[in-house]
Amino acid sequence: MDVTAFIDRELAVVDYLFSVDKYEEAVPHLQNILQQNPVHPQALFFLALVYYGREQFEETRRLCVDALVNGFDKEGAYGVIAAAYEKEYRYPAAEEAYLQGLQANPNSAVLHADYARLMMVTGFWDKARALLNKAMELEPTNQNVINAMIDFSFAEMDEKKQREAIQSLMENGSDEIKKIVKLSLYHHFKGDYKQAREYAVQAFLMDPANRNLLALVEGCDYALHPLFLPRRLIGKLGGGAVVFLAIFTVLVLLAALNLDVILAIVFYSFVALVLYNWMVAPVLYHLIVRGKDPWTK
Amino acid sequence: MQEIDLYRPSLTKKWRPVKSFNIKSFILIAVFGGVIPFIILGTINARWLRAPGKDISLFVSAGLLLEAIKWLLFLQSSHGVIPVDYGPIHIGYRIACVFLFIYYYQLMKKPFHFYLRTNGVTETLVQPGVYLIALGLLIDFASFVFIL
Repeated sequence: MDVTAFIDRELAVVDYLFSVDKYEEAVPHLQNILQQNPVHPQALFFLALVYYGREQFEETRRLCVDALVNGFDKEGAYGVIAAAYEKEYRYPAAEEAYLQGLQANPNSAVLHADYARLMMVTGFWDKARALLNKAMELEPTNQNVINAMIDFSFAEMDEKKQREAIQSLMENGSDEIKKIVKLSLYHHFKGDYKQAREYAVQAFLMDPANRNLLALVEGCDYALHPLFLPRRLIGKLGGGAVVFLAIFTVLVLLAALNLDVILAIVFYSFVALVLYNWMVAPVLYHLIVRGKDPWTK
Repeated sequence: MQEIDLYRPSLTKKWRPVKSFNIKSFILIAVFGGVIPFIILGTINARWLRAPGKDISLFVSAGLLLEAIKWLLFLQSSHGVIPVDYGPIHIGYRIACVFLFIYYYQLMKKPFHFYLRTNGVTETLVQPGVYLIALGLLIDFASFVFIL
């Protein structure tokens, strides 16, 4: 068989395996390609992605540089180099890689969006906003850009932008499961656990083998369970510190008014509430609920 | 608004990772520790969160003003200028600390929420909290000794 035709066939197989997230199964095919052409840029890049999945970031970067040297697309390669640095918390190096990528490809919406994410994590929120606006200008329907916009609008507590970004995701998103997961997370952040659970279950039913989706459903179940009702109420009242202070104030007032019986009742109720919330409820949940849940068996 | 150069590196040698305590718990420092520990902790946290310098200055000024008013009232009370005992001044001071906390929370709500959504983990407040509350109690004790 002709070498070029062989490489094309193997690349098509690798492409398919990557599209269904079977990265490790693509390795023998990539090795076949690299045996025929050790500097094949696309194969080097795909192999870099496999190493990225294995969390071998040094090797990921080396393969990306090899792919770049041999003419691979700079947007993709620099993006992965930067992401590998980010995974190791080497943020200045990640920024340098993003800037090199943007210098080579100033109109890359994906690099702008990924760089914006880095700026979000490192605390440069104004710059992140500006980068995301630029990414939206360049490619408003790109999935990565929309996802970054959704995350940014959640962080910024901007309801209008959240609605716009979710709307854009529904119109332009290609992966149905990711769309539904985003909707679930959207409702989870808003504290609407019931709706979040419904979306999480939908996503899980579409891909029942995915343990992350199961964890998402379990997370919603945990938050929604009646055992944790007092904890949810405390959250709505402003958190543990605020409730503690309120109870403390009430105790001081009752002591000042010499209402000893009520003081004792309030004090012991408060101690019982603390013990229940942070010790009894999690243990009961684990013993009763998880034992009966068919998904966790 | 200042123009942002998108393509100039931001993570220079001066850059420090963004981090934060859970600012909701600062109410305990404010009430039990008083203004000085709250100002120390609040300023450190605001700097970690890269809050605008103007907001930090406003918070520190408000705190120092409150502390100055407390001292003034204590001194006037000790010299018999105002017919109020230490107790009500002390309670009023603690209530004012709660308002100072609410003000701080409003200033830091947005950067803190942003931090939580993007980084997700807060620093533990137990050890610095205990030290700062102890410092606050020490300041209170010293002020009573000084006045009496």
